[in-house]
Amino acid sequence: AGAVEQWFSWWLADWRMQVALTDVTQGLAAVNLAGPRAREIMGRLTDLDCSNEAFTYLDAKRAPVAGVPALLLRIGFVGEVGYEIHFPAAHGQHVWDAILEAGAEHGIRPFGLEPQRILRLQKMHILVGQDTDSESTPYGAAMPWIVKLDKDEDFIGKWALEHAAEHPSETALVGFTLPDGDVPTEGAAVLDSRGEPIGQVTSARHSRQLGQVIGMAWVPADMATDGAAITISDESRRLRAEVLTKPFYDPDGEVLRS
Amino acid sequence: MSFEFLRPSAEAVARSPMEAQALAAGAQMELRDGWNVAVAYPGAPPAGPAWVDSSHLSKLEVAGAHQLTFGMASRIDGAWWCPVTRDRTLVIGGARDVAVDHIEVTTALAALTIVGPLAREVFARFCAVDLRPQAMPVGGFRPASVARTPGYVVREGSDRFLMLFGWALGEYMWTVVADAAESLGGGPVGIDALDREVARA
Repeated sequence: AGAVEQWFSWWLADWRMQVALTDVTQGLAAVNLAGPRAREIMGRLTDLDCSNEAFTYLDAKRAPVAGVPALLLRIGFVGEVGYEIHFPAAHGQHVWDAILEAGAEHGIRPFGLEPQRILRLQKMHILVGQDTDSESTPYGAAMPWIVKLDKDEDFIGKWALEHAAEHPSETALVGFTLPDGDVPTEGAAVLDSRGEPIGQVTSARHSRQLGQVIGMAWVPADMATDGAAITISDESRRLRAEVLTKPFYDPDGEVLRS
Repeated sequence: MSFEFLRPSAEAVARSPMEAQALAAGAQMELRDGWNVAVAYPGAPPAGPAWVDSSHLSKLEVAGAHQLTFGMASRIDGAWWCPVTRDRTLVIGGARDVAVDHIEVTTALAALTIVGPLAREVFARFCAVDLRPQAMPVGGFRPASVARTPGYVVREGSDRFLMLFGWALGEYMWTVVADAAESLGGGPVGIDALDREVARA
């Protein structure tokens, strides 16, 4: 949030637009309710129509939740049907308790950062700054769908993105699996046949749900094909991994959009 | 776009980020206007400076030019109108509905009121703002760094200061103030004690 506020403040100062900017980050608490029963539990907390037809994936709504005014975002960072619920911070305990009560018969449980990290990795949802750096582009990160160059209006980064679209990325962010249970260190090098570093691991975890080690790495673009073999150097170990270009779980997003 | 989702609701209990610490200090809590507030603490009032959790106060940010005097807050209809910049005013307390466009920041800023003859001494231990009467008279208002975080200070009375800071830093700020005040014989008091002080004044 701090970085975003800095960017906005810089742009406003530079362009001298008649815009007031107020940081309300601390004013809102947020809960992510996700999983196969998320919609059913939401239905107990709000009068909002949460059917897939009325509240589609990536839509946003404003409605009371447990009697508290809220901004609802239907997004799925962890790969399941999910809702990010943003509401005044003073009601944190009230909303938390209401959600746990509403989901009690389904065995609802809070989940922390580590399961979230594994679940998002299963979907190959990137963490900006971990899976990307200042040299990364949406094209190299296999996210060309996020760029809307057909917008009539100019936007920040448009020129750079147009340039990137015309010059294919030399590297690509891919997924990989490891057959033998070793979890490589994040930052470990990907090697070519001569043992020279050609890329690096950005994320890696063992997924209990999938029963294997999964990860993401930047590799030369010509290695970004399903089944391609890559070698990861992790301290004294040489690990053989196999490239996957689509998410490990729900590769076509059917669960997310259900 | 409606920013209704920023506004606390009377339909659900609202709590200060410092509630746990108040309870640990023995606070007697009551539900008032939707807020669970510490109204009193056991035992005699502290001999030294006291602090009160005032996070339930409404706070609104009003955009637009104003005629307020920088460095001073104006008391209007029970609220402090505090000029932050040439076109930004922070309105603290009073009625929630003001007849101008505003952004609700009640739960973006927590608040502690520090009172007593040693209140300035408490501040001096974590804040470099000059709170001497000649530099900051009653009604004085300063955006300031408080305990190394962005905040605001309003001098509400000769020995009474209202300090605002980020909501997420409530626990930290209570610890800072307690650390500063307890060594001076201070302690927390409930809002009823504050109201009695106002009545006496």
